[in-house]
Amino acid sequence: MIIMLKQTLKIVWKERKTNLWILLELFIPFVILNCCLLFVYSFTKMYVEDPGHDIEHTYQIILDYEEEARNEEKREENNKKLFYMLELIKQHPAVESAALSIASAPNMTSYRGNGIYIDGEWAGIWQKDITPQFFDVFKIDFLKGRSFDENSLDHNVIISGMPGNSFFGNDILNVGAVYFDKDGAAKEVVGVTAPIKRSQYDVYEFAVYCKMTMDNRALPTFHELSVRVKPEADVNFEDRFFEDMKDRLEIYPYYLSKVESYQLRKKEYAEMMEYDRDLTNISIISFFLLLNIFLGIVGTFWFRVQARRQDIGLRLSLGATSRDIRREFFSETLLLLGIAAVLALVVIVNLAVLDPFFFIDFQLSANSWINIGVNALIFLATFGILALFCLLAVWYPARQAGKMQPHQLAMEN
Amino acid sequence: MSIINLEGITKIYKTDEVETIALENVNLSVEKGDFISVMGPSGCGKSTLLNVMGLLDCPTKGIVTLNGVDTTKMKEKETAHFRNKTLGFVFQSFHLISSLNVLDNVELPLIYRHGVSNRTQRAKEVLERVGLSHRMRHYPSQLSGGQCQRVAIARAIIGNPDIILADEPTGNLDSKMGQEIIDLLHQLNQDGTTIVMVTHDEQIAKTTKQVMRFFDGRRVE
Amino acid sequence: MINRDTMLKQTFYLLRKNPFITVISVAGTAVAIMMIMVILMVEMIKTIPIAPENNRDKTLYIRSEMYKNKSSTNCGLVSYKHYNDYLRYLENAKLKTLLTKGQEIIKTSSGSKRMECTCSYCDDNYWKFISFDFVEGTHFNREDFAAGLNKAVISQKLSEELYGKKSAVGKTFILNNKKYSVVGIVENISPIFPYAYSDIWIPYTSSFNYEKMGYSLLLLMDSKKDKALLTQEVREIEQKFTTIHEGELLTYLGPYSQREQVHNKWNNSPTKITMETIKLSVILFFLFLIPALNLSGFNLSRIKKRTEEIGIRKAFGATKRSIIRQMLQENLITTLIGGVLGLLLSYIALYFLRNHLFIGLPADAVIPLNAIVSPYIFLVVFLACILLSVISTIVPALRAAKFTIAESIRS
Repeated sequence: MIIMLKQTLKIVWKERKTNLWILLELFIPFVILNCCLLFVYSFTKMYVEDPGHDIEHTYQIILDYEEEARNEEKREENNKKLFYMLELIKQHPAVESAALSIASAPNMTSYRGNGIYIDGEWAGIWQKDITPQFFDVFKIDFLKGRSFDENSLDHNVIISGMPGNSFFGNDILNVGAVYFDKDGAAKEVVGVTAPIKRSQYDVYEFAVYCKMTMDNRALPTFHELSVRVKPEADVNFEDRFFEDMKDRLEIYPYYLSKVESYQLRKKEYAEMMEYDRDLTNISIISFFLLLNIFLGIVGTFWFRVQARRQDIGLRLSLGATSRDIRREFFSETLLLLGIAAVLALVVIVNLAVLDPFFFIDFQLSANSWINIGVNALIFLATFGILALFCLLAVWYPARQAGKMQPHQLAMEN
Repeated sequence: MSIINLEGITKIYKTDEVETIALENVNLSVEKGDFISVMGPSGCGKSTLLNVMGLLDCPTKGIVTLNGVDTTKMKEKETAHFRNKTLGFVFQSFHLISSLNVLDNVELPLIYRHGVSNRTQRAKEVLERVGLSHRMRHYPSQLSGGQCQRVAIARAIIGNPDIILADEPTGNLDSKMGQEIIDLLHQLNQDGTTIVMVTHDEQIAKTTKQVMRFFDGRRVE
Repeated sequence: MINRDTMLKQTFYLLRKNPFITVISVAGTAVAIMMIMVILMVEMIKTIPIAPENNRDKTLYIRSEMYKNKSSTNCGLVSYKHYNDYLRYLENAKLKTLLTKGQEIIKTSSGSKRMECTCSYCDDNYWKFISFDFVEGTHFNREDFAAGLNKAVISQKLSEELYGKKSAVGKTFILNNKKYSVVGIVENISPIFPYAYSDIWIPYTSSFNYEKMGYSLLLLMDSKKDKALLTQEVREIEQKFTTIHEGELLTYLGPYSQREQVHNKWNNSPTKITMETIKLSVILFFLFLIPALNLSGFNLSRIKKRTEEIGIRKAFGATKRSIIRQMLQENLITTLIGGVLGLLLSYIALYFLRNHLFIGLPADAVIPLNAIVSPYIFLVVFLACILLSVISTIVPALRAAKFTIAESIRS
């Protein structure tokens, strides 16, 4: 065994000039393939991960309003009317739960920013103003604590968890944690929800939920009204609800405009954001790159075996079997791939530091935490794929050469 | 005036470990219309001498004058044109291009010459002269050794060179075929072509006008 | 100078003699060219002016605004209010159109049919931006728009789905709980054209909440040079807004050119377009690098076998240049075969992958042929082939030309 290895090393060294080229032809595809796999993995992971909310049987009740809704002086009055309308909606027999929110509903494009200050450190955070049933409407799970109730105080907040590390470690993700927001107001965490995404195709976003107050400035015009419908009642809900509630929900300056399912909304949103474009493009590109890499390896090793036919003839005439020949080529090839892999590893580690995601997708770059284990697995997968390619590429010509009669090979040249 | 003149030619091959002196201070001149055999044991530098003479290899030191022109000062392109016009080569192992047929192989020198229009016509003529006009469309692998060497001679003479350099042209042939090739060379010599031929065969050497002997990179006779 | 016939003959002889490597080289080139062409063609279909979006090169897009006051920041589509107060007065635009699109549920008046379709809310200028072919009737006009009449133009496809083969003009349907009457039917538009494609077009003034909806604003310029002027004007509008509304800030993203808006779908970082260009170039570079590397390797191995031939050619008068040229020409033939094959494959790939390459494209969508079968595309393929063969030949050819003749022949 050791003698074999020594001999293999010797041959690899003796043909170092040719091998240098082969190394290059293995090393560059290795790096590229590794990156492709990493991208495909990350995008796929992002797309299939639990969005943290459930939009089946949910609808958005879209209210329209007269200019009066913008009147600052009537703000509390208008808000009261909206809360009253929420109660009316809850009474509809098909409705299971309903909530008012601002920039919080899934698959919407709106965003409201706030900040978290702890020990002089600052992080931006998505602020969601909601009424307590919001978590029931979208079936958002609680990891710790629970939703707001009548006794909740204005400075109570609920925070959504983040997979992996968050900005402040996990200290903030505890009931009782305290921080200051951008206006310097102290907030106390009373609940922690499961990580949540804006839509199925997004990354998890760190968010803080605040209980909707009667004096909310944005509510009169930026409200979202969401309902969860009882599964058995979810038949033609849009039209039925519109007919049933059209008159009752006409409360100046508001009136019912439209009912839209969140499923439809999700589709619109995905189209608008051109989701799955990057994933499919990277997958398609990766597939064809893989094909080209395979062709390259096949050709390269074919030449390599061809160039060594005389040598093979000599070995065969000295009593080597065709299996020995194949094994010899296999071990040489794997050795070369091994060297290429080590070189590639250096580049890949450096690339990871540079963060290739920055290049493809900002969001993924900022939020994805891909641990060393996953990276190692992808590296191994790359090695596996290329090893398979190499062995396939060597197997056929080596077998052909091994099958030849020694004198045939010796006669060439 | 001599057509070939070598002055103080030294050729040293350097590899990683060893330095081999192939030619050491060789002086010789060949008159126009001469037919010279170069003889000597293996590795004495005969082939190197021929390569240097044919501008296929650069001497480490010394001056090669062909047709009165100092070739050491020529640029790559000039050398190529000069070789094309003045020199014709015949090699021991024929060196035909296996992916070209007989006609294309013979035409080769004319392809690299400007303003030649009747290439195919001339190739057919020289092939007739060497007695192979019936094998024009064959590929080298379909010919016998003697036939290959005749194709090689046809290729060497198609450009009407002043000098033909033949490196053991009969080395790979049996004596009958070898004789045919030597006869062909004699014919060319009678038509006025200067020929320098490396050979091992004393019998063949005797038929030429002059014999030069080499030993260990030096001319001994 | 070099005999073309002989060269071709020899090339094909060599290709036949080595079928395995020939197939691999040609296939590798074809796959590479295919990928490159698919990427380029997708980019072209999205950006060059093609009917019905004939004016893409002269259109500018403003699609989002950022409004900031003391308490909050709002990002979204262009709001009607700010359009009406400011953007509507842009002077350097030849024509302006405001439009927005949505997925809506419509019903026939009898309620018997109910379907989801794409609805465009637009104005009367819209019909001058996009060149539609009307099968029947015509679009709503300025008066209809101003009066907010419930008139609709629908696609041929929708017309057939709703009313069968019969003439649809004058028929009605229910949208957003309002009754619309059909005034015109247009030929089906490929969803590849985001601003032209729709099932229904209605005046946005007919929607009861049009003043609260978000829009995209399209500006038509006399010439591309006007972009700077319009950009300047928009910036001035933003300043004027702050002067009037103290403590408030209005920022428009854009105006963007066609290419900029394609790559700036929503994420509004100004570096995004440059990033997109870099991304595209890097991807193309790697798509090129792999086959170039492969072919270089093949050529290197092949040239080793042909050192003797090169030596012979040089002995008989070939110059270094003619040797390199021969290598290039030979290689170009292989690459061109691969290139032509690759182009054909790219058409096939474009056809089969169109749903992935263009998001939200239904199965029956048509790809505009005039965009992908053009002299420009053929030229690109040809140049790509030349580039590929130069890259893959240069190292081996230089290496082969380096040997002295004596060395080459001895081997």
